[in-house]
Amino acid sequence: MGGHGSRHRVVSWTNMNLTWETQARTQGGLTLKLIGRLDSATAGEFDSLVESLLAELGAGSPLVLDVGRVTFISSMGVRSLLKARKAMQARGGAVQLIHIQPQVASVLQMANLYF
Amino acid sequence: MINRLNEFNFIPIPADEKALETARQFVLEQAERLNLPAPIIFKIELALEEILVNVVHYAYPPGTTGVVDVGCLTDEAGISLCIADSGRPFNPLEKEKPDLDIELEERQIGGLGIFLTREMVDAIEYRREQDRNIITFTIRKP
Repeated sequence: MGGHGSRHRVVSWTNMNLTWETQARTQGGLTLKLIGRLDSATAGEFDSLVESLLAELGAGSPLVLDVGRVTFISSMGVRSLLKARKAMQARGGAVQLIHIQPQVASVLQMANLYF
Repeated sequence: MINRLNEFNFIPIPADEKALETARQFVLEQAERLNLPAPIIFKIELALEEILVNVVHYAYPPGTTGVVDVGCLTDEAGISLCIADSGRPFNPLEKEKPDLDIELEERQIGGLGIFLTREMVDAIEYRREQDRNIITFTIRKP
């Protein structure tokens, strides 16, 4: 990892993991690539991560979450995504989710949440 | 399913922050025998988390750690889990369905966990018996 605009860190609770990596986007904004689980064990760390990233984002820039390798989401994860969206909207930005896996998509759909 | 509790395989777990991971490992080991497809495992994990996190956070008074018993029964029909605690009476199934149509800003997230659980499982029951909260749910094999 390392390099400009790229960071890598592992958030780990025994083996309930969430790994993330950020990439600056050319038109401003940020892509946050998530690998693992968005659940009660990782939601708190994810919230803190998003909060810290907000400082790096220009007003109105999108936060893109690449969730292609997010294999699990619970209501706590849904809550975190909502929180991130609210925070971004308050700054005139938006959260976009890309590469959503079918099971994660079905949970978001049940929660009537569309990104 | 609540009438077949004597057939379940139970483990007692301290109802603390580590409970979910311990329960998850136990349940996944049991589920492995059934060779269930990923979408079914997803449902099991979701329902387990939503019910168990409720118990860990609300069953026992702050500062005390009670015990939660997690039980599992696998048969040809599918998998059933039981989550039982000796905490204050609480029936999560009585929680109202969250209003998913209201504006995001006004949306209350509480109740979403149990709503998702109901969507995922094929059957779910609650019983208060001998000062215990007993929840069982079943997810059928496809």
